[in-house]
Formats: sequence, C-alpha cells, structure tokens
Amino acid sequence: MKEQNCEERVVKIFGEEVEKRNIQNPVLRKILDNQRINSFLFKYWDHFDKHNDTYEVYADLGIGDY
Amino acid sequence: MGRFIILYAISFYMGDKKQKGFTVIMKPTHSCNLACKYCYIEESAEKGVMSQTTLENSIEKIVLFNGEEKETHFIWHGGEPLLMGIDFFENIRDIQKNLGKKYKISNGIQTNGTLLNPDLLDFIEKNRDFYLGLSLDGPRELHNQTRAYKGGGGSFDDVMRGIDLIKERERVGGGVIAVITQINIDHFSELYNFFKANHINFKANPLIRSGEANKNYNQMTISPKQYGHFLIDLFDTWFYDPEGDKISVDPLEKIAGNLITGSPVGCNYSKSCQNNFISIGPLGDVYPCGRFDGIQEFKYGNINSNSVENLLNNPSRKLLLQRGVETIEGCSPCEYKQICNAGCIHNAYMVNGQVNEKDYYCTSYKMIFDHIKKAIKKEINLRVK
Repeated sequence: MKEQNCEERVVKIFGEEVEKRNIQNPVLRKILDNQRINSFLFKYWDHFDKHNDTYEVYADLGIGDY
Repeated sequence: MGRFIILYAISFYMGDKKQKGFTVIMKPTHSCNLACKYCYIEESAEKGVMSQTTLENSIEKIVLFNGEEKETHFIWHGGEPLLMGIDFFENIRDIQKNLGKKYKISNGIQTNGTLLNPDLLDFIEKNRDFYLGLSLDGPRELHNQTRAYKGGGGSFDDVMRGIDLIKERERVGGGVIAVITQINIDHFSELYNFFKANHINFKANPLIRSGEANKNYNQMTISPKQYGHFLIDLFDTWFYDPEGDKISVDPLEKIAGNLITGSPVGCNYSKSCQNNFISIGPLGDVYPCGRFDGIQEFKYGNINSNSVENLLNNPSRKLLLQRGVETIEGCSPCEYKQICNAGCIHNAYMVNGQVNEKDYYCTSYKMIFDHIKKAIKKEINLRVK
C-alpha cells in the first residue's frame, strides 16, 4: 500500500475543518500537545501550541520491558 | 498552502530533533533479588556479572559506531541492575565522561525499585544523563501476587518507599511499567485509580511468554482478546476522566499518536527495530534485544571479540531485517499495517516458533486501534465548528 502523506492522512482522520481550539476533551488535548504530533499537525491548525516536550523515540520500550 | 511548502515547513520544524543511533539494552547481570512469576529471562541466559573489560568495550564500541551525529542511549537493565551497586554506575559515568565531550550519550536504568536509596538518587540527580524507570503491577494486593522476593514476601512496600524517595527529587524519572497478566487483567479500574492517586505515569505491558511466564503458563497467560478488552476498558477510563490529562497512560497515548501521524515510535511497532536496538549480556554476548537473551540461534557474537559491524552482519539479524508486513500472511490487507508492522518479533517467535508470523497480540492491537480511532473521531466531530 502506498503510504499516505501528511496532508492526506490528517484530512482522512480529522476532516478539514477541525481546529484544535474546539477540542474540549483534556486527554485528547494532552495527546495532541505532544511534540511529535504537534510537529506533524501544526500547519493544519491555526492555534497549535508549540511545546518543548522531549521527543520520545524510546517510548515503546517503557524504558525497559519489565 | 501548497503541499511542498507544508512538508518543507514540517521538516524544518523537525530539524532540531536529536538523531538517534542504536539504543543498547545493557544487562550487567541477570541476577535479581525478586522472583517475579513472569520473569522473561530464559534459564539459558548468561550467568555472572559484567566485567570492566566488557563494560568498557560495550560503551566505547557502540558509541564510536553510532558516531558524533547520533545519540547513543544505554538502558541499564537486568536482572536487577542496582544489585551492581552505586560504584558500577559511577564507573559508567567515568567511562562515558571523555567520550561525552565528543559524542552524545544518555542513560536509563530500569529497576524493580526495591534497592533505591538516597545515595543512588543523589548520583542520578547530579548526572543529568541518567533517569529511572520502575516496575509496579498495581496496588499492594495485586503487585505482591506477582512480584515477590526470592525468599518470599511481596515487594510492594519497598517499591513504594523508592517511589516516595523519587518524588522528593527534581528530575530522576520514575514512571513505571505494569505487566498485565491473568492476575490483574480484570482490574483495569483499580490499576488506573491507583496510579492516578499516586501521581505515577504508567505503561501497561502484556505478558511476554518466555522464562518463568512459560512455567506458570496457566496462572499467568492472557489471550489476545483479553488484552484487547483490557486496553479498551483502560482507554475509556482514562479518556473520559475529566482529570485524565494529569497522568500518562501507555501504550494508549503512543498508539493515539501513531494513529494520528501514521508513523509509529518505539520498538514494538517499528518497521525496523533491528536498526535501532541491540542487547549486550553480562559476559558480552550480543542479541537483537533483551527479550532474546539466551536464545542461541539469535546470538550475534560477543562484543569483546567482534567489531559492531561484524556483529550486525550476523545472518540471524539479516533474517530479522527481512521480516515485514509484505512477507507475513494476513498483514497485507490490514488497514493498520503502516503503524503496526506486524508487531514484536519476539512475541511472534515465542508463540509460533518463527519470526515470519504476526505478533501474538495482533488481535489486541486491531481492537485498540479501532477503538481509539473511533473515540478520537467522535470527540472531534462533536466539536467541529
């Protein structure tokens, strides 16, 4: 399957008219405030905050298995 | 705005991100003061403790291999790494000190938390390239059923004592991994409320089927559907909690991010975890990751007698690198293959006996991907202007 580019993916998941300021759910806002996602989406929403969270490339490892 | 400009802007913004080299899961010992019922360490894993020669070779060879541009991250794991004593970690700091002038290095210590003391926390607080991760399976009555001392008796009170010490510090880490087994899988609400009440970020990892987990199979094992339902229940508890943003809950937060970006982070869903992770045991034996320690067919060789280039050219690594959604039956039509990549190689191998299979927890992943995607879309659709 051809990998979707950023633009196609955002439109597919969220639609084109969403603005972050309309999102009230605090957990979803937290998810979207992560820098990784922020970096990905920031051009699609006018009022996207740019945080300085650590980029978490190791996230899935916990930091360890157990 | 044209597509080119958008993508250029994104890549520009991402430009200050650190480049990552190999993350090394270092196992200075496989010994432990606990006898967890699901410990994944195989009996065939190396015995003994890491020598000075192996320690120096491991650090220097990997750091030099990664080079000046890429950061090397060491995860000090085990067994219980704090059994090595604070001298061991001061030694690591000293070895890394000179290298650190030219190369980027960071360290994590994954501990059971029972041996934490003020001296060690002083060390971590002073050396900002170190941080801690702990293991805690929930409140006392759940944790003590799975994580007891070798001589008997639960470890809960000692782990919480360690966490209380951590909370007195500015920055030493302290998030926990909770292993989900038959013991605690029906207690998602208790787990969530406990971690939230104690201000502890947590990650709910499913049982890895190796080592002690296989011996205690009937008591410990969980089915993919069970784990999927657990993740869904945990997600709903967290996502619809008005104070849910006060706590990080993984893997849910990362899965949501992966769904949004279409680009997975970490080892479990990585397209090529073998280009990012490597494990070195107490005697210097090198494996694809810490989960494979002791499985001889995946041993790359020994760090003391090989260059990193030679170790990475091992045929068994090439086999792992060839694994992908294109080669695994059932992955091709899956809508989530881009963010799953057939899951963890070890989870596939331990259940199916070969790596070219789907992760044992494939069904769980599909269940939670579907659920999170619908939940986010529903939330956004409620708020669209």
